Amino acid sequence: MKEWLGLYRQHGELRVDGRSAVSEIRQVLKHIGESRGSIFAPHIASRLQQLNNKRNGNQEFRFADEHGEPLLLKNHPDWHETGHRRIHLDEVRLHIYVVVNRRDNIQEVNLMVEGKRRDTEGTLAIAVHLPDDQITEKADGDRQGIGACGHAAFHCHVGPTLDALPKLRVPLPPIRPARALEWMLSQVVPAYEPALWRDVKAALKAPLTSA
Amino acid sequence: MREATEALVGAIERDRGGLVIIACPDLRLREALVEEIESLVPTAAQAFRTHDVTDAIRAYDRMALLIPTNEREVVLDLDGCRDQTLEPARTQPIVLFLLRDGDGFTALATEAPSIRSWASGNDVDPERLAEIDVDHERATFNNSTGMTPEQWLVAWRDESTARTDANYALAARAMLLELK
Amino acid sequence: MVPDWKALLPHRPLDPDTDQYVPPPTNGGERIAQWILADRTTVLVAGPVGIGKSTELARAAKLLQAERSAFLVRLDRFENMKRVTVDQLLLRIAGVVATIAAEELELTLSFVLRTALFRKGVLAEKPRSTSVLGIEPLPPVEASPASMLGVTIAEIANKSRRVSLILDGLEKLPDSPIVSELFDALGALGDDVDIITVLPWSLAFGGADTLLRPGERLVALSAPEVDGRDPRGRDFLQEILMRRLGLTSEDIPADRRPVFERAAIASGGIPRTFLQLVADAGTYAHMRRNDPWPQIDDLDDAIKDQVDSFRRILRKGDTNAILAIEGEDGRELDLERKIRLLTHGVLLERNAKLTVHPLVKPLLPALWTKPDA
Repeated sequence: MKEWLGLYRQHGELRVDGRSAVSEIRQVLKHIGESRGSIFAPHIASRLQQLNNKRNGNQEFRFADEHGEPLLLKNHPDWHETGHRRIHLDEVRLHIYVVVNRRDNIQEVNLMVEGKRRDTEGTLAIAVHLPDDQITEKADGDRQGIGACGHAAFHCHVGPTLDALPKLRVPLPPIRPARALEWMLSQVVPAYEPALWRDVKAALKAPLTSA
Repeated sequence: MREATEALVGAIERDRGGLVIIACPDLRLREALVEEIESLVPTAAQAFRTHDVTDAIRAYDRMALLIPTNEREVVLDLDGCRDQTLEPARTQPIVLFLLRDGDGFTALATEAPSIRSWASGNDVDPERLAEIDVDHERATFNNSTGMTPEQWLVAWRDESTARTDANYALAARAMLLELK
Repeated sequence: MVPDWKALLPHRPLDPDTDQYVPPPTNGGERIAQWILADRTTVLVAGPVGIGKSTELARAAKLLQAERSAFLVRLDRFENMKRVTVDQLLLRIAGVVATIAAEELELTLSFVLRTALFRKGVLAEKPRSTSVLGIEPLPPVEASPASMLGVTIAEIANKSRRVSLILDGLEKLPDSPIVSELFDALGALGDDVDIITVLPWSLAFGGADTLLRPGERLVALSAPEVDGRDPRGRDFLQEILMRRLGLTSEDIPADRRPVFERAAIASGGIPRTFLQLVADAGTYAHMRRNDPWPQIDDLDDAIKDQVDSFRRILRKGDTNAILAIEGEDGRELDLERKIRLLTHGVLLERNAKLTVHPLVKPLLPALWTKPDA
């Protein structure tokens, strides 16, 4: 119980600095967009677009193409790479929705990537969610399901679709939403790895600097 | 139709080595907008933060994010030194962050017409551009779902609405629009 | 041919030796040169921001080279014009003149003078004595900045032709005693040197008459007409665009030509505004659709960007004042407001009357009619 309680608290702490969280997501998109052989078009970070409601102070950030639809990632030759990637996806779409309230807290984050599997002709969807924390008469905000273990606030789904059974809900560590986006994209974008083992090894060997 | 982020990127892209001015509603959002610009501009622009006009001008091959401590003085210095940015020719713009109704914009209007002219069309107020017509958007939501945003969110929050990608989009829009 | 919108560089004036120069219908550079060659010793230049003052001064400098030792001194490329002193300006003029004399006219000034200018920080390279006899150089000169400028001009005139000083950047001087001090100092150089200078904003649209002395001339650069039947103004802007892009008008797809026509009209004839509109529209087209050429929607958004800019410079009372004098000669307008609105180009002078800039009209519903799509 104690660790699940601790994780729930840590997930709550992820909500602070909402605008900064959005900028961090843009940084991830930008870095992928700039890499050689990128699957993203230039200016990809500018496609995370903002709307403000002056009356309630809420802001919506949505990743969309020029028609307001989820962005279709280019089919890149590396999609066909063999090696450790077992699944080849076509028509990959990326969805990003973030709602930030007037206190600069993240109200909800939804990140999804979905595509068509070439091997089975089925589909694959990976999603990361941090649900709306508004507690109302009929809902307990991000305290969904029956407990903090089976329904951790910050979680991911992997499956043919987001609704296909069994609808497993995997708890995520208390990482910023931008890091969760990195993880999600690392599962489907060939050769994308923001924390290469060689860099991790080098960091482990480096002397600890005093605080 | 102009979208806030697109307008920001367009202003930075438009001039090789000119001046961009970002209007900030308050100091908290000024910090958020500086971070936003840092997340939008190419890494090759080598964006850096400074309070000093001389620093900004000297770094002709880097994007200077100029965040004044005294807005009027910075605007006057930029006006007075404007043409020093022509030699050597800048390859990156200077991006100046000013409070929306602050001393900087007053100085631009009354004491610094030269630099104001350079930035004309490149002074962006992204927070204002992002503001929706709430009544119009609520009507649109109602027309497409048959419900108000508040009604739609009741079913979403108690998990009786299917978790599809289309509904995640509607959920974000409903949260943007809900009356509190 | 795919246009490079970033090459438009709306903020950058042209250099004297450019091949991109397009003579405006009002021919400012040529008029300036003609007045000087007609023995007017001082020409004062005025005009709103973005009209092309620096470009026309550069043009005048080029035209005068045949008959004068003409020196284009771009003071604002060296000094902070809001904080500079008169002495600094006079020394800077001397330094730039000495540098140009050496580099472009192959005139070497005296070692003593060059040393004095180097010591004052306005000459980049430390002079070396050219004495072949091993004679010790004379001790350094201590003189006032005005005197050093006068000596510099005299040395050049003695070795070459009559000197014409073309001074750019003075419009940025603050509204303070430095303006009259500087013009007094320049006046003290006498009639042996031509002075062509941009007027400070505070004098450009009010008070210039009090500054003009006998023999002096004011050349006002104004925006050509772009919204009437006379196509010269629109053609002028289009030609600037084509030269900066390195294209011809045949390179523009036929269905996109109305975009540039509308941009010219929306610019009010101000070259910088026209280039900004086109660059903005072209950037939107590229970002939105990877389209090399803008559509009308892209230009409409560029126009909105400019309208927002004008909105930010209007002060309390401006709207009513503008509505009251539109189409009049502006004498009822208070001087501060008149200077500010004319300087920014909010009001344009046409045939001795004041008209509202097209990009300001959407802010004044009483004056604005939405253009046809």
